[in-house]
Amino acid sequence: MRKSRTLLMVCGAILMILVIAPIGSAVQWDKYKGTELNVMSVKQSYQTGLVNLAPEFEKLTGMKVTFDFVPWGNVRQLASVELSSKKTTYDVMFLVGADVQAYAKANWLVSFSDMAKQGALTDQKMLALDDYFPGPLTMLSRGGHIYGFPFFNATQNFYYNIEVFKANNITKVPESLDELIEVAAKIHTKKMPAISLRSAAGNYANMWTFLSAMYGQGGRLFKDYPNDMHPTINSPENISAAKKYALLLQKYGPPGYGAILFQDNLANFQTERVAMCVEGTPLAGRILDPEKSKVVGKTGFAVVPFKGPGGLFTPGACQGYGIPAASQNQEAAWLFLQWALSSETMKKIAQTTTFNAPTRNSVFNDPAFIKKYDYDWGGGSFLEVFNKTNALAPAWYIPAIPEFSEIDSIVGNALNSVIVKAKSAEEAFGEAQKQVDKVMHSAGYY
Amino acid sequence: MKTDEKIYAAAIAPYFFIMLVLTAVPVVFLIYISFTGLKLTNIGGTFSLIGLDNFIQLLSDQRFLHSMWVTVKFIVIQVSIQLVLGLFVALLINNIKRGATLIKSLFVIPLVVPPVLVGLIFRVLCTPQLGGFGWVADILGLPQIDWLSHPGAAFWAVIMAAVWVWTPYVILMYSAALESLPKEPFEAARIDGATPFQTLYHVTLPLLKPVTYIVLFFRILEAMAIFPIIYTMTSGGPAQATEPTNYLVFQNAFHYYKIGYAAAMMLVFFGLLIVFNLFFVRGIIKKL
Repeated sequence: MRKSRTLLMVCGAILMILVIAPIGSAVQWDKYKGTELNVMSVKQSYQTGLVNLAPEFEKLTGMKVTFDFVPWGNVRQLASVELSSKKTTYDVMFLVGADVQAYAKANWLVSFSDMAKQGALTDQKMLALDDYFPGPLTMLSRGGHIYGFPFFNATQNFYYNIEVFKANNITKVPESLDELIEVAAKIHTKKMPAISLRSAAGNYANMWTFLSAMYGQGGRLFKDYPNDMHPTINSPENISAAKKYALLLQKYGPPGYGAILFQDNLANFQTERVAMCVEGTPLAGRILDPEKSKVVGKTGFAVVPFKGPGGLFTPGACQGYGIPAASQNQEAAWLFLQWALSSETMKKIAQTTTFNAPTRNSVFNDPAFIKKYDYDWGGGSFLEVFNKTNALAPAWYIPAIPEFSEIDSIVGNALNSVIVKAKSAEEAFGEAQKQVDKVMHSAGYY
Repeated sequence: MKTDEKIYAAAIAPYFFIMLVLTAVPVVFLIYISFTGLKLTNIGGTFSLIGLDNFIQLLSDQRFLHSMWVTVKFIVIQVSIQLVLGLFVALLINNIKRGATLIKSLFVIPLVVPPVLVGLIFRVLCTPQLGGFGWVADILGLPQIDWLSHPGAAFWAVIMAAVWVWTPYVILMYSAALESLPKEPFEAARIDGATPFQTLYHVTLPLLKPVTYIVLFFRILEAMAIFPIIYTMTSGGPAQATEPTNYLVFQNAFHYYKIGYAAAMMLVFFGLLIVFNLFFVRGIIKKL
């Protein structure tokens, strides 16, 4: 219900932009000739591509683009500080999908629905809003307004070492949490532990994966999101999911299992220090980087093995770019974003870097993209899995509320306490329930 | 006021004014903010005063109380180790006739490494897959310690990092002090037949008291600001075992956007610092 309502609002916003923006009017690309645009971002493969292609944009517009790259751990803090100040130095801001609700609520971002009214500055063909996957675009929208364009379609899938599976006569790829535990028990050795999963708390680390397992077990964060926002953190389903998730790491995880972040996961699987891992689908490009990887040619792909009594839910989130409301160069930034996230630019970046998480249909279905990224070594087609995963990601996977960042930290810490055996699942999730209840109550949800 | 005093007062007045603006104004603003429900996502909308709500909430905030306890543990343990180890090494260096200057200059190296980098270095050293301590344990045939996966071990890993980076400061301070100690008391002790331990206990340590107080004062202040090492090494985990108050303040302000609540936390933390300063500095002045 919530998903369809949100989607409907985003569709309405797209329609409004299409109707308002005059079609066919000549775009004044050089209107802001001489302007210097400052872009704040993390540096991933998409940004490597953007930096390489930026001279094309500079030639087209006569503008100068300066990229300021910030480590992942600092980017959300810097975004909050910059966006809340009335004189930000940035014209284009990196956005984590889950944070956009808080930013938009505070009026920190420019509404793209309003920007599109600038007919002479909007290239409808390049903008192609209906080409975006609806999920990521929905995450960057609030109240019928689009506040950012997604460039990175974040989700997760299951990676496994085909050779290890063969050596242990595993013929069926696990689909449920229970099956995953069974397989882990069969293949685990001290030399090659069975599985690596995110375990460190905060900054969307362990919760990004765990929510999938939790929802699969029938658990939820709230009684009936978004209608009844009373937390259900210590429900039997959530506690059961936490116990199973912790068990996997405690019994079958690698050394250092209590502090695993995405980069540890990546390194563990890539260098054959574990036989299985659940990690970002877009990270396949890095995991299978021929120069660093030992698992090229022997990696199998599948949807996350977290099917349970509650069903199967895959992670869904995105990263994108927005324009700070305090930017002095909003229209120039609007021109940049149209170019930077256009289908053509995205296709070029996919071909010249390891970027494989497009947010546009036209890129995902591009034959050159399929040729480059459809890994299949007898353990499932990567792009087929990516497609299935996208379809299974609910729009509410990360609740679109400003308080989620704190809830992520509270529940993530509770899970981490269970994993490192500091507390029982009942105790940790019981305490988290009280804390989240306090957060929701003071935020005025009830 | 005499003419000279007036001149001195006039001379320091600009500096005093600048310091007042730079320190007092932010502190007053911090105090004001701590009595509001200000959220970063709603600036302008929640500057209204909410009385003591933030402070009352702090009293029942288990995570805050735990972070205070972690802060105290960090300070007491790391400063104690640094003091004992620093004195021990300084005494050893003091007896070295050749190469002491070179050794002392080597001790400066950890002091110039930014704490953020220290955290990263120790994260790598403590991660079993990346070698470091695990590799050394393998060579020595010792069991591997999963430093960052266990609350107790992670706490000690942070202590190790802090000791590595700050003990040289203590060594250098004690070395300088030892060099400047008068020779006569040591001569007298030698003539009286005192053993090296008796000399240390009855002569050296009492003579080192002034520098010990100074070292203690600065090390305790610095130890409270362990944030950069925590930020890059453990992010407060696992299970919040390494989450000191200043890290929690950062989380509340920049991840949960609760500026008013974070200001209240900071104020309590700041209050403790002031109390410590008042008592400790007064104590030092009396002893000197």
